Amino acid sequence: MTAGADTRIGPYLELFAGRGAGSEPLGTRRQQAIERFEEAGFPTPRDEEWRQTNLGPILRARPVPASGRVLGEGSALPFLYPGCDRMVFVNGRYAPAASSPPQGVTAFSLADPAGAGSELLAEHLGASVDGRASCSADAGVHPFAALNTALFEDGAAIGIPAGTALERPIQVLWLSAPSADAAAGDNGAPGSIEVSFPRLLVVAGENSQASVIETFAAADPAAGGYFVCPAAEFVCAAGSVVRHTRLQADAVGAFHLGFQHARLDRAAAFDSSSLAFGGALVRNDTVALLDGEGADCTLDGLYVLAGSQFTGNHMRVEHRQPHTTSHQLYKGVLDGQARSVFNGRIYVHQAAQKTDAKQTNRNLLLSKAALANSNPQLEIFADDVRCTHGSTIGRLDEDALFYLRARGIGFEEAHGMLVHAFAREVTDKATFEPLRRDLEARLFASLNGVRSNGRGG
Amino acid sequence: MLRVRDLHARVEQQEILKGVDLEVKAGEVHAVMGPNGSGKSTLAQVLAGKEDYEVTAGSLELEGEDLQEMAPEERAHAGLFLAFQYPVEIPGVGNSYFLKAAVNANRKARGESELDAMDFLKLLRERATLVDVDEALLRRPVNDGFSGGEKKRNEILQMAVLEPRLAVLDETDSGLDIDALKTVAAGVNALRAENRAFVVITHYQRLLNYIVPDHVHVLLDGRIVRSGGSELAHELEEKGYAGFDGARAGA
Ligand SMILES: Nc1ncnc2c1ncn2[C@@H]1O[C@H](COP(=O)(O)OP(=O)(O)OP(=O)(O)O)[C@@H](O)[C@H]1O
Ligand SMILES: [Mg+2]
Repeated sequence: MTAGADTRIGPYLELFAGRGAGSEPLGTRRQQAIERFEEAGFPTPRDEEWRQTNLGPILRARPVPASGRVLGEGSALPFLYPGCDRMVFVNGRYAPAASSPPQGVTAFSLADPAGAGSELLAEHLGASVDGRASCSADAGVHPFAALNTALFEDGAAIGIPAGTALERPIQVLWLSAPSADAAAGDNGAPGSIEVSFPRLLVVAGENSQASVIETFAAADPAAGGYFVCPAAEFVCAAGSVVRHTRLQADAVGAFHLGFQHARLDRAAAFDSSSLAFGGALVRNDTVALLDGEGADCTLDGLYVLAGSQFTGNHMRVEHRQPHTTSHQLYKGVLDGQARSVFNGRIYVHQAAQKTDAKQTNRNLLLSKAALANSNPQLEIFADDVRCTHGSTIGRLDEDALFYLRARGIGFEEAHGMLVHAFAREVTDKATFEPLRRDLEARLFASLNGVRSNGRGG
Repeated sequence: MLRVRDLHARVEQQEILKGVDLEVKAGEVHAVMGPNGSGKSTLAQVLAGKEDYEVTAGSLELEGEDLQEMAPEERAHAGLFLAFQYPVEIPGVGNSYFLKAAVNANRKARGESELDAMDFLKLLRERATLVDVDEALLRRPVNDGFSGGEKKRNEILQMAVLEPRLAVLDETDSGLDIDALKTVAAGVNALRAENRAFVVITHYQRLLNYIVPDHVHVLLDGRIVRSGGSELAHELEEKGYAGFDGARAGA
């Protein structure tokens, strides 16, 4: 891709021109990011990593910042869990009245001028895209992460001081509420599309412990034609333990291209679960850099798709130091004509002896027309390592279904029990009870074809 | 209670049942014996409604109702129970959760109120004790990693909890040690009642020492070639199937 050849980037460059790079410390980074984005352009079907993602419906539409719309803060309530500290964002903007940020830690809205001098931002924000902590050279620039850095209007920065163990999870809610006009825009029609760029930065100090739950949702589950382009960065200092849950429950018509990046120092643990239920066209790109001896990351995921939904999960786990471990377990349930892609790349650097990496992707197809792709990619440059991967694409066990029915359990219920049995390996890992119950409810709701976005409703 | 007439069934273009007649009255115990591959499990699975088997002729009635018109779960609701020769392992579905779902699905279908967690647990404990099933098995996923004997006991536990009108036991005795065999037989005998009937498929006289049948049938090459009283089982035990000729079948 040569610079300037991609006419599709024009509207996004205009968005940047409209708002400008802004003040330091972020101004320079935003400027760099937009330049990198301009240079790289949007991916084309020839880009190996993007071959299976059809960006057409997003890139044909004219992007309009979603933040122009303000919404009653009560609309966040159905998505909030009890027993959490929380930061709520509506259409990409912080909603202080709906929020109750955690105490004893640094937590602020990125748009808050008071945070501009924070060391957190100076040191860490954007490190994942500007080269300070990015992947090995061949990974290149992630265009949507660069776009987010250039264009985010607001977001959450959370810093957990060394040695602090948070008892309550921190819930960060990204609520989308597109205007009726945008919602009316059909996926294929080149109308306008409301776009938001949620940004999250979590910096866990040495030996700290925290749990962060991100929820992406729509005030109106039937809304369509909006585009969420989030980026999240996790910096896990030595000995820290960070749990992360990413619940994507956007409207079924939404577009969602997410990027998340974790860097783990010595003996740090990062445990992330990605649960995807919503969206018409969804991608989650995850990068984990095991940058210190003994670092350990767990990446789990579940995607439950129906209709013509598409979800891609692209993983890149880099083992850079000895004795690092990574475990990935991604499971998909696909009905209708849904499609999924799992691209799992594990990269073991020469120095990373005694690496233990495991990757599993299992897919359950509930219909003839559903299609799952699974592509493990192992690149191993150290000799004393253990790397395993496995992927399966299967259908519901007819014998098990008959067994349940022969005991009097109706077809629908039996079907649900078997799908739940398949998915719970991932959902059971949610130890926070309100979250686990919500996940189960969403799983059953989507199995019943009832696309429910509000909790319990 | 059960009336099977001239039943023909095939699987993958191959005819397995070639005209089975069987009548079971309330309160009776029938034993069906026959060599490997003669069609015993096929008969059991056809009764339970397994879709792989196509019924090409004949009729199946339970309490005067046409089973062929009913989905597998509806047959269960009508009081039919099949203890599988090969119980299916279902990882991820807890055994007691499954049993509760089954009990309540049946109760609901019959217009009875569903059991709450407490009442169900009481029922489950009581029946588990009756058929000597370890509580640890209740907490595990359905049949997942169960030993052969544990699976068979689990089938009998399900029967004891569901209290069917007609129970078909497909080789529930194979793979059981002598103590387990006695327990299973005791479970069946405890459930014997005027309004309940059993069809016991077995290869061995052994089980029939504990569950004494009213009628014994010999199934050979897809037909019942001989029927008699419990003495027939002893005869088979001594002489095997050599003396029976499938071709002579007239039933
Ligand atoms: N799904 C199937 N596909 C193909 N053939 C089948 C199928 N099910 C049964 N058969 C065949 O039908 C015949 C009868 O099988 P069935 O299981 O009913 O025998 P059985 O009397 O129960 O034997 P056993 O005593 O070994 O349990 C066998 O030849 C078997 O191979
Ligand atoms: Mg058999």
